Amino acid sequence: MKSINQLLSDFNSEFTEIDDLKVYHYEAEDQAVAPYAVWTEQAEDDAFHSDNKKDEQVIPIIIDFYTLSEFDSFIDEIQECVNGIENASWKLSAIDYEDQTKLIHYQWEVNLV
Amino acid sequence: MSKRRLISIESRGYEELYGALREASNVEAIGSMAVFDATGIVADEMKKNLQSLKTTKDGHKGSNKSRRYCYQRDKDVLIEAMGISPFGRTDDAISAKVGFDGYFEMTNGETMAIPKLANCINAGTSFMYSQPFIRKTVSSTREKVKKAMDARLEKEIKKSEKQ
Repeated sequence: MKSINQLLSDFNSEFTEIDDLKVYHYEAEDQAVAPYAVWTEQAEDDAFHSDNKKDEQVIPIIIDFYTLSEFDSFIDEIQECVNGIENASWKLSAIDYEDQTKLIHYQWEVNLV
Repeated sequence: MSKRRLISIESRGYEELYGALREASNVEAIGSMAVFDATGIVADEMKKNLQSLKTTKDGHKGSNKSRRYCYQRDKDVLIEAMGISPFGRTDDAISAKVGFDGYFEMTNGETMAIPKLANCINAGTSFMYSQPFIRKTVSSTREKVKKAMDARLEKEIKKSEKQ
């Protein structure tokens, strides 16, 4: 079974390669100014077992991207990035406009195996 | 070169069930019963997950520096508004949805669509923690729903064969 830390570390390496995108893990820093992205892993969503042992586990990653600009080019860059990750399925799972903050919020769910 | 795994999926044992279903004279009624059982399971689980949503005291506005959970009144709105849609019928499927509709008035007097509130709590915002109650509901009911629908289909098809 793959190391979960290696899975997450590999994902982080690829995601932080997007030029000029501020990326945070778990929480944005106090002074974070949009546009920025926060990613966090979640509990195992599915698994494959064989010979009474876990063989593979699916780890969901949630990416939240916040921007004040409509048609922000980072949205396409994030999608290109996750589309290029090996052994990962993904979907754009939520889009919202926050009335209070005027932020546009895109959320993706990426499942790493 | 990257390794790609080919996946083959095979299901066994359903041929007899599908064949019997095709022969049954009241396919729509049987299908509807199975969907009814399924939506009951999903709705119960969704309600349970809504009731365990974490809340923050009213007045704590939240920000990207210090996020909050949903307010108690938002939680109450979702619990009240959750429902099951009428059954839909297409050429090859019978379905129903568990979800939210309607509007509610916020404390500032503005109106918000309840599905939007559900999305904000489920996905989170820049000032509110996400509480993915929808995915939690789907994950925890997937197997139960399959078993319940299989059991209902088998039972009703056998009844139909005896008539």
